[in-house]
Amino acid sequence: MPRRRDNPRADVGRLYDECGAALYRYALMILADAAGAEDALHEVFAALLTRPVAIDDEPRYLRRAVRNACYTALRRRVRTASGPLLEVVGPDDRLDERLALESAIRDLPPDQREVLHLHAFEGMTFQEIADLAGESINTISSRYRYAMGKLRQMLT
Amino acid sequence: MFDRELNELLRRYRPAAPPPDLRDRITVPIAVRRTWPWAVAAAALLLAACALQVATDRIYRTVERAATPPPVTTADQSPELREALGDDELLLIAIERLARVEREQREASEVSMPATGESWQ
Repeated sequence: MPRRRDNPRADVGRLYDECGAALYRYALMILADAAGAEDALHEVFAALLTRPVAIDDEPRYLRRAVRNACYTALRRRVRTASGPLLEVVGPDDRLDERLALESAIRDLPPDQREVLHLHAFEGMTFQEIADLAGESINTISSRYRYAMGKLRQMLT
Repeated sequence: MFDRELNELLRRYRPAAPPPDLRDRITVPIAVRRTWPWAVAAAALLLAACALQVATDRIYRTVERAATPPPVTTADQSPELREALGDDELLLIAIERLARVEREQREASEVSMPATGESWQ
């Protein structure tokens, strides 16, 4: 029998603290749009507030929900991309290099940006990505290969 | 550019972090924010409608009371009056006539009053 949630609002706060930043980055890389990523997260967490039943595997559920929200947003997208896509990890931020990489990533198709993000930035295996996306592992590894090839080409 | 260089470049960056105020925008009761203004507005509207109904009803009743002339009591309608006057038919007829004349005069004076907005001068 499904467990009921006692305090949905507190749950949402806790889940945001645990997964919010990672989910935002994931949405940002699929959409290549900061405002769109915020909207996607907003939509997912708002839906969570009205959900009376507890979720078993919360991070997995949320990642799937964000993914669905992003691809739905892409289908009805009318606005142009906004906001920064990347931030520097170390202290040395070379603006021209970052903007060139951002521009190259923005030019990739959303499904290639997604695989690039999950594999290169989150360290997920192709099999894990294939499970998440509901695709074969060959499709996922091909998408990654195409993405890397295009980036190399655009940055040379 | 080689794969090694591209991987090195990707390692120097990561997707941008969410804006600091996003947490508040998401966790500050969305449902409440969406529901309560409508509920409050609906309640206020209902209250205003009820108040208007009560006020209108009160005004109607006041105007109605002022506009309706008091009923003319005749000997036929009042057994007490008939008893006080006795059985004199001529007297009864005279009183009926007087009452009718008085009623007609009152109605005539109401008709000749100026219409709304017309000057009294």
